[in-house]
Amino acid sequence: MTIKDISLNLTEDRRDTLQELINVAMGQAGASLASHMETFIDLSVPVISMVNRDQLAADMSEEATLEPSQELVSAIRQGFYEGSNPKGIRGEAIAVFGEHCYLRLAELLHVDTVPSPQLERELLLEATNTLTSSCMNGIADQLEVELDYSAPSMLGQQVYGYNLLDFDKIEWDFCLRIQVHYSESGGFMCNLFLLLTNPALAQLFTLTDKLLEDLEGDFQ
Amino acid sequence: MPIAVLVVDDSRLARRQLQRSLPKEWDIEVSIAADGVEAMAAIHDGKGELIFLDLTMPEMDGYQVLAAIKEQKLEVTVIVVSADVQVEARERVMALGALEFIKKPVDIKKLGAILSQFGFISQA
Repeated sequence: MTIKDISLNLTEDRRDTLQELINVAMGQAGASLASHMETFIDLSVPVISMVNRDQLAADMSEEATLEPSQELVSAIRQGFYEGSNPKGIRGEAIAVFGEHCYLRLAELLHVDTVPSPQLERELLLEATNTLTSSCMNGIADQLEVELDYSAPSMLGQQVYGYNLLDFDKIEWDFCLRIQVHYSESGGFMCNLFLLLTNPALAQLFTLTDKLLEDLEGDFQ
Repeated sequence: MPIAVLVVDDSRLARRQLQRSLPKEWDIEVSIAADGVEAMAAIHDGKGELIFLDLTMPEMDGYQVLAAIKEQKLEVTVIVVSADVQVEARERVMALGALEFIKKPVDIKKLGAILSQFGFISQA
């Protein structure tokens, strides 16, 4: 989509810069998760795009569904923000897990308990906290900012993807959507969506523009 | 005669960061490739005596490049530069014939030490 305010356009340079920052951050998050679960996590190229409310709704109903045969999902939300800077980076992470994902998590973490909604809740909250903070800290470190996090909370448990968000409550017209996919051979899969809206978006682009300019300056 | 160095990464930022991390007085001729397919073409053109290779790329990824180099018995040296810092990722690339594994973002001192250790430069 095209944004009227040019300072908010996702140009190729900005996409490239963000993608590399996220690659590095994903790597750190993947290693953190792999160490936590004692398994190997497959990393994919992150998907970065500007979306409006309707597109995000479509994402949640289609892409959030992790595989065609698996319609029910559980999702956790967690906010991130620059505590010391009211005009700084802030946004929301939404981690979407497949219906049986928590059972694989329990297996990997050697949790010997009867499957239950409570167990799912505990495991997914913990996994989201690990993924979100390690991924976002990885991005923040490279941009030289510090982030704080809200406590993760359940957005939906064993629901259809299109029921995850209450779109009537969304106040923004568009947002930057970053989609990161984590999976491992035994069946654990997670789609992590990072959503940033203005003015945090303008601040993010200011920082990435500066990073690239500084680097290009060395090659003049 | 300068060493033909090939920097392979789909990100312009990453390629620039790597190029900036290389020793300033080093006698090299740098070429770049944005994915594995371009990298293989550059290697066949003699542009990759020493290759800095990313792993996560579209088209042909770093693992596939390493496998192709091994299969074709190409006499090149590969240093993997990756954000995937899992132990298994390192083990996989070393088994595929990589000389070393450097994590992103590149630490200039560590890179210098590796280049020195393997005789590419006289001192770190």
